[in-house]
Amino acid sequence: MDAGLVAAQLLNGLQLGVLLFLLASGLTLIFGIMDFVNLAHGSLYMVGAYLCAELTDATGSFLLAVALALPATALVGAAVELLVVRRLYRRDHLDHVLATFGLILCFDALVQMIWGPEGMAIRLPAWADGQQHLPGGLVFPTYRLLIIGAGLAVAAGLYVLVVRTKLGMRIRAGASNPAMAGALGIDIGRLFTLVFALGAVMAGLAGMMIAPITEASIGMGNEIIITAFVVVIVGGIGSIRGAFVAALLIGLIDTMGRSFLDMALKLAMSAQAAETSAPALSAMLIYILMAAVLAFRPQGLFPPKTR
Amino acid sequence: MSRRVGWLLLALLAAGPPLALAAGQPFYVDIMTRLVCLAAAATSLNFILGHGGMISFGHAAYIGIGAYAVGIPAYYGLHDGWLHLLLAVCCSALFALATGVIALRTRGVYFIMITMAFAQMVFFAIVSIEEYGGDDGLVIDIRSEFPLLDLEDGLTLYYVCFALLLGTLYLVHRLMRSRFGMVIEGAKGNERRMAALGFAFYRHRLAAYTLAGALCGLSGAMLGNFTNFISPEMMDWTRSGELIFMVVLGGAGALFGPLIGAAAFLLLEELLSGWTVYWQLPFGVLLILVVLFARGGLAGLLEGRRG
Amino acid sequence: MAEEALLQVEDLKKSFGGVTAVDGVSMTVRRGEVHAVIGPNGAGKTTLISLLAGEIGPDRGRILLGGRDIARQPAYARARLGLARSFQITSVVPEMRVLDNVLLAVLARDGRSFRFWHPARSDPALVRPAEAALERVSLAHAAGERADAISHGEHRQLEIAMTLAAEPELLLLDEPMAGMSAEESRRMTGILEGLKGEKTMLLVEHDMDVVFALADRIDVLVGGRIAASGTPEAVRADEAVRRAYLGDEAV
Repeated sequence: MDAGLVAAQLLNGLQLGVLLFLLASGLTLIFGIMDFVNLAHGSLYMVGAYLCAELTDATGSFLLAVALALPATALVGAAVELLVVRRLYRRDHLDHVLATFGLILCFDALVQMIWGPEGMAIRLPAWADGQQHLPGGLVFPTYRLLIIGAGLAVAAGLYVLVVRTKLGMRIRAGASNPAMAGALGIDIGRLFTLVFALGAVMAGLAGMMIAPITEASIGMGNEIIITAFVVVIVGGIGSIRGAFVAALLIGLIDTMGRSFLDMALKLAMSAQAAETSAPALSAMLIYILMAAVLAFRPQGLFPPKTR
Repeated sequence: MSRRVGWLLLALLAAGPPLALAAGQPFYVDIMTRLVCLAAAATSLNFILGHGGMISFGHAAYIGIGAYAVGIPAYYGLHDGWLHLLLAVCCSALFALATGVIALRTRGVYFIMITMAFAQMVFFAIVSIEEYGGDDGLVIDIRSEFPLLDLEDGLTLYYVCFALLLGTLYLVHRLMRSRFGMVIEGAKGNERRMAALGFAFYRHRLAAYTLAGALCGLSGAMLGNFTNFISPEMMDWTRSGELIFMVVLGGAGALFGPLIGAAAFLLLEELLSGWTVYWQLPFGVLLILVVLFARGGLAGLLEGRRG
Repeated sequence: MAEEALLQVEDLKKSFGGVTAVDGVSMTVRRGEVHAVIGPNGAGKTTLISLLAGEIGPDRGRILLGGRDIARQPAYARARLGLARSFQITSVVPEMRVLDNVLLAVLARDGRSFRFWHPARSDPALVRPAEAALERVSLAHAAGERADAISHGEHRQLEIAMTLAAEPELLLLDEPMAGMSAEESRRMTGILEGLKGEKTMLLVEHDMDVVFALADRIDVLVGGRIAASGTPEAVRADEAVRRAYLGDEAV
């Protein structure tokens, strides 16, 4: 096995991991604090990507586009919370999934109305478009390194926000005991809108970061959202730390499995059998991991303390 | 009232196809075939979701498993219908049993996401197997062969599917009135009390979950026969969402609810998609409105219940 | 025979975080008696009931039902061994009929629940005992109503009917009078009196009149420990109990 290839795939796994974290952290916060299942979280990922693509075209600057698209996505998230989600907190989970499934249909159709059925590519600025020569002779795309760096920075920022700030204190209070938080004079309604918008921003950011690689397309959120669910389940609902650990774990396992599982299998079976079974098995790997974690820890790696 | 509508629909479906053919409208036979297959699938979902309170968001996986239980043998030149049905039932039941063992130990949000993730696992596994067409799917050029029945004849195929729907409805009806069904229903209504009474209802739920999977596998086998073309798209998680929508639209927990819901769903889909390419938008809005304002579904509206 | 112990609790302990809710409780319920547990709010009565019913596990101690240690068994297994509980806050299956709720209790005792075909609601082996249990608590008139459509007092009666229908060795009654009007409370006392001598009951109750009217023996729980125990007369006369708990209410 080529050490350089392994290192490159590790970085790719890390990149997938930080994207998953951006999606899953919002999901897990919303689950933990509002006990709300938001299937449409992936739609916010898509909306972020399209807004960023549109604004990059309009302004000519990717960075400026991201800076403008982030608050725009927050507004979309807040609007969704105020118009639909807010009315559903007291309902059961079946209502949550149905209504947010309806939201997905709406978002997909709206995006198609505005931007057409074709995807939208984003051109990277020259400074982000090259390759970097890393120690050990490794060559890796600059932009992917930027994604990893930005993702880790956001994760750190989120940690500081939740652990160190007054808003974070309120978020944690709301998560562990909404009734108590209400009694302490925290405006639960506003807190929920804020958290939902925060989750939207992070999902949107993930969409903006991936769009230059894959382009913005309809339904792009519907696939990755399930992987983000797996992250939330493995990490433990409501736990940011769990989401972080699980996101990196799943990003790495998924990427490494797709690259190297056939080689590993060839050690145990015939080359032909390995080559036919490896793709299916590597596609199933993260779900098997999820099943294994649940079998031993039904509440995930970092289970919620109160509940 | 909802019963009467259900019987009326069944009568229509029993007599409709020959009339449509006589009127030179074979297109309607196609729609009705799809309707009865989906209604049977939705009825099997209603058994665990509506009656049992298990919000499975992965039911489309069984449609896919059933369809591939026809498609894969056919790919190898095996066209025996009994073999197909046996495979569809066994594979679906096995998959339901294996995933149910893990999923049913969890509650609420976890259960929803886990069933969803396991279904997506099957989806990705099939996508990654190039031998069976991967993403592009598989053509079934010869339908399942049964003694005395020629499924290549549209009307014969239709009545076989219709018989499956009748059988599924009758089975669920009997089950829900049996001792077993009472435990399932009781566990939905009040888990704590059922445990205090001495029921280890996990086993009942697992049995119901497995049974529902097997039944849905049969619908999938018939749907695969009908479309002549199968692809992973049949078991995309949004298909599972549509099945849930049918159940809830018709009225979860009512025997004829899924049939009414499936009929309304397909009717809406036909009408809206004939009217605009953005048919998903009104569809999504309607779904949200049903959740917000007509919680009992159409059956509930027919009974005059609201909210 | 009357002295035989049906339920023995030995040194039972449970804490939550730093708070010890039940702190080394030992008690004996004899077969055929009505045994009451009283105590002020926060004395640990609810925790004790949950420990006995199996909804939470103890940190320490044994619970012997008919000589068999059930302290680590889950709730459903204890129910099968003959322990039936009623809930302080009514806990029935709301969307089923009253009779169906009792039917479930009969079915639980009967044990044969993996029957998929024959209608349960017309099975005389289930319906007869269920109807008898409803008769017993004077609720037969509401058999066909949905369980969420009956009054609070009727809910309490349904609770008792469900525990009775399970034909348990021991009835664990968690504040059966909770939230009842004087009239409803009188009716319930009558129902429980009718069961006295026939069923062994462990009664956790706030209403002192009911406790002193029904109980053969009383344990007083204060701060997670048994502060006094004995016959109603002895407990009533116990100075420590009067001061700690009964206060001016008993005078």
